[in-house]
Amino acid sequence: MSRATTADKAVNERIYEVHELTRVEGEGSLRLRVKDGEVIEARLGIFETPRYFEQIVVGRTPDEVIDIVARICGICPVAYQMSAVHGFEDLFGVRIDPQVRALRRLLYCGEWIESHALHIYFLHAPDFLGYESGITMAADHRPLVEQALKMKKAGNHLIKILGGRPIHPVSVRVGGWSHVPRVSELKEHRAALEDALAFAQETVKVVSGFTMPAFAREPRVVSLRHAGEYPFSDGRIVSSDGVDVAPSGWREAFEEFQVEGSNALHARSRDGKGAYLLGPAARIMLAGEQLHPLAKEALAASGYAELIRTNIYASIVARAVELVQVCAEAIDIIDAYRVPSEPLVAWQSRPGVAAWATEAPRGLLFHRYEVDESGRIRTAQIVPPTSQNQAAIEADLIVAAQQVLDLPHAEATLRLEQMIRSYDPCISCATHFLDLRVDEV
Amino acid sequence: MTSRVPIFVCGEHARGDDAAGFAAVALLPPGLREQVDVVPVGQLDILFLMDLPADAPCVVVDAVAGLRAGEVWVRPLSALVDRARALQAAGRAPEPRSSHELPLEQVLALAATLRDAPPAGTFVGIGGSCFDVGTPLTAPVAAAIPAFAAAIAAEVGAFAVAEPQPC
Repeated sequence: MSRATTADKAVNERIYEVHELTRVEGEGSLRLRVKDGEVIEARLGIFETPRYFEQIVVGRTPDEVIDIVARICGICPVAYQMSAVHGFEDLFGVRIDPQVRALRRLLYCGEWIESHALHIYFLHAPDFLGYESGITMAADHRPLVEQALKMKKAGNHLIKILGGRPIHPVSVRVGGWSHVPRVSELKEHRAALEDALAFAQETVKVVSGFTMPAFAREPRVVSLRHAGEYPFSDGRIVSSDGVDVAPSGWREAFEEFQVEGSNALHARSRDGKGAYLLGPAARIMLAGEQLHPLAKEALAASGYAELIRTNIYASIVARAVELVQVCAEAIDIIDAYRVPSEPLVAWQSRPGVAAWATEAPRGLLFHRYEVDESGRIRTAQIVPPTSQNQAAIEADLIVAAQQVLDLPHAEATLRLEQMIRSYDPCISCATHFLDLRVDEV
Repeated sequence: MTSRVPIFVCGEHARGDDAAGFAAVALLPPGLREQVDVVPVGQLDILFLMDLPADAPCVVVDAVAGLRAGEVWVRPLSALVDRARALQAAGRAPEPRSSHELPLEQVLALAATLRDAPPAGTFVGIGGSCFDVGTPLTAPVAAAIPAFAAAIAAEVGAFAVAEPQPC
């Protein structure tokens, strides 16, 4: 729960402050300027101390990089490993066994399960149900919270089976895996995933029943899109307005830039079209035809197939649909699993640029590494989804703030916090600590 | 045959006094180590507590800011739950800034809510003064590690109960 204060600086000037926005992954601040009743500026300020991961990996080998970048986040370490390993394998011309690829998708399923379950039930649902936290919600909605924990555990355990431990897995390697599971190990976990799938389907029904605050802005959306599967690690980077580049080509279409008051870089498209939205709603808009049949069915039954396009609060429904997607796909992968004949193929380093984008739970995550003649990293660039979403958050806040300025202060503040949480910002990856401030001048 | 008592060791090896728990469990006598499962957890996750059988005791070990450096502090987990609930009722609960760092007491309180009773067991802490990355244990904490280990051993000894042998 955030603490909020209001101060009258002048007759026509108001300041709203939330000193600690909670139920997001990390910390940040926000400043809104209101003039003549209209919001004219919304700035997400990021003042977390820079973490220097792009410098930490300099001089390291590709396999070392994979283990180091996993430490960027305790919620989405797999995403960091996947973007890195795909980039290196693309540069080195490594061709992996199809079962190796399937296991990587399975690892990603585990991460999405634990991340989405955590966000839906512990970070976002309390907003809709009127609780200050998942802890207080647990007293009145114990079965839901218990099931959510069980689902999160199912995701964590899947990561442990594949990656050796539930957080910051260690078995992903350039060329495959340092360890692959036996068929029986995965089969033993199937029942837990079946339970998770059933609860994911129930989750779509639960969150579809939430009252969504009114909001309408059709954002420009960006995600990976693949002709034959729901996007994780392959396909092309596409947008709702014509961007279409290879997963290694993020910099052809987008760029990072620095803004005042933020320790996280922002991102924008090079075509001057401005902010764009990443994440579950964007993926469903751009790649929904590749959803698993059970996920498609859940989306259709939710009645939210259209509303997730324009109402960011409804992203909780998109996230729940993706829970169905990853639980169902995980079961399918396990059913088809055979131990790879070549779990780890040999590879030869060569100098050049290793770049790739994959889909973290929160959206597109781009990595780019320059590899020198000795096989070590010369430079690195990591562009997390929350950094890219910052501009879209600000654009939506301008719209949302105008709709809530007449509400009582506490209600207005909560509504804006709820909207920010709709993005599932992983501020630990990109930002920290939100301090909401609205000035009316 | 005895039940093995889980020791959940919170902390971070590379952060000064936050490594105290790891240093202490390393000093547990070999005979006692056969009665425990040492589980390095970084931060205590609710899932660890949910996995415990009802009434099965555990020991949670961590360094604590706010105590005198090197001071060993032992409390039943139920007392920490009571404290968390009292603070909650008074509107003074520490606010979790992110899901990465839910305060220990709130993890215990959530477990108590979901399990209908506080987790059985004890918290054994030690006061720390420096948690900076790349620093060693401070001198007062390093000097108190044997006492910290002894306190952990005493709690384990109290919990390790004989199980009936199969017929």
